[in-house]
Amino acid sequence: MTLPLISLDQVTIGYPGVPILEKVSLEIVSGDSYAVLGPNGSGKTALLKTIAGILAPIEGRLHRQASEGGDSVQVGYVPQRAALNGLLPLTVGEVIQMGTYGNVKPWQRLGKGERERIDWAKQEVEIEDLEQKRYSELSGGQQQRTLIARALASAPVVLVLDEPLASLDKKTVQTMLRLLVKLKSDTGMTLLWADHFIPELLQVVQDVLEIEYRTLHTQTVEQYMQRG
Amino acid sequence: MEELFTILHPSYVLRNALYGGMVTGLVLPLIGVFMYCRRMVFLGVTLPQLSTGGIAAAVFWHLTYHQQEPNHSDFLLALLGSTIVTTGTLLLLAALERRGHEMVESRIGTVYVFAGAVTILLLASERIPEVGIVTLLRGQIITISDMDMAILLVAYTGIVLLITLFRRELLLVSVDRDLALSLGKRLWVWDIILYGLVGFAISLGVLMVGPLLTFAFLLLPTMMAIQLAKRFFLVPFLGGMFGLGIALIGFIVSFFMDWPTGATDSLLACLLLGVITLGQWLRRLVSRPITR
Repeated sequence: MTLPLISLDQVTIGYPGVPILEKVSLEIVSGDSYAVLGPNGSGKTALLKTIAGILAPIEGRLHRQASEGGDSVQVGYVPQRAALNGLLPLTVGEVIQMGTYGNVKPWQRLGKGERERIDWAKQEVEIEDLEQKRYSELSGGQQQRTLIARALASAPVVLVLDEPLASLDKKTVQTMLRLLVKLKSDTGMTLLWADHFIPELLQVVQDVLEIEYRTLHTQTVEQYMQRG
Repeated sequence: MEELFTILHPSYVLRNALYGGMVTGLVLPLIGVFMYCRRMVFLGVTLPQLSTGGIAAAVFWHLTYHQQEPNHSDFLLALLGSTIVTTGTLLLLAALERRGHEMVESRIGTVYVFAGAVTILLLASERIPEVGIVTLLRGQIITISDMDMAILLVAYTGIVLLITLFRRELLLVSVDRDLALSLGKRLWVWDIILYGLVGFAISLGVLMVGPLLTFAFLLLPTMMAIQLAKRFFLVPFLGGMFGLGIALIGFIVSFFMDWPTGATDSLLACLLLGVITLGQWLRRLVSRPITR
């Protein structure tokens, strides 16, 4: 039996003093893909941030499996696009490089491994030609791809995406879906993907984590579809 | 021209005023970059005022409890008081921000009013004016000794080295705190390092050039650099160069016009920022495609 990469046991999720989801129990299994669905304000972002280690559980226990190096498994977090200050002259290359900062000590320079990972991440989301461009001058889809490349540069075992398709036109949504399916088949990475209901999303994932009335329901895509 | 060579000569009597201004102009924008990234511009106005209050409080404490006039160790005493007050308040504001019940700006505004009021009241006390300590509160750039200049150089070199060493972590916690947390960075550690550097650099800046020019050097060169830099990692370098240039040219202008140096530098920085902003606006206007 495979140990879950991440497990939540009776976890209360939310911001300090503001619980949003209560008594969440969940196991994230290696190689699976999960859609996190729910209405606005239901707690999708809070759940993803808790899994990514950004929010501490208010109550309960969250456990991350140890990686080969002894550290707990790395979770790559892809925020919503507005998360990055558009006034700063950050280039695409600089934004992606930030993803490697967790693996490099302050006195070290970026090593060959980090540079290769950055190149691979850019190739994977097809933005090699945007390296010198300012992040703030990119289209919505390009910005989203840059943020995915940044998360990939951190060498994640689990990739968490917070509404990557929000406010994108239909054509860009199709491109993003194609890229994420390709990423999944290339790497076998575990994906957690929060979004509003998009039929195409259910073709990419195996399980659905549905948030309703402050509780989380775990089900397969088939079960979710049967419930309508 | 001969006068210009005179003021730039190493034996010039006010050389420390020039060097001190240049070093402050070079280093403060390096700190200002992180304050800008953290959207702490408003705090940039408050901290120099707070630092001034810290200087006044330290001197007042010394006079009250030691019953003697401060001597040549004035500078260190004022620096210590100012750094403790500035860094301590920064950490307190950060802790309150986490609780997040009121608007951050309202707290910063309250601190500004409080620091201003305390400074004025301490200055109004009978003791402080007697010992002529007011120059410390306004920035003692004209009267700075070789010893104080040496302290400034050592301290600012240390700050620059630390910023260079931790540039990636400081950038990360300033630009994207969620990413920093997901990468396993301990935010409180980096916040303390950043606030310590900010508090210390501002305290030294206020002692050297006064609160007005400290604020000007913290933020205006950074705002110029952000408009011109092609990539983010050039911003601190460009900002430092702008600060250095403003300090040099401002000193020369103030010498020939017989104006106060701090106000001249600040005005020059504002004018340069205005010119750069206008130039960038015109560039965007010209490069915008014509639509009929």
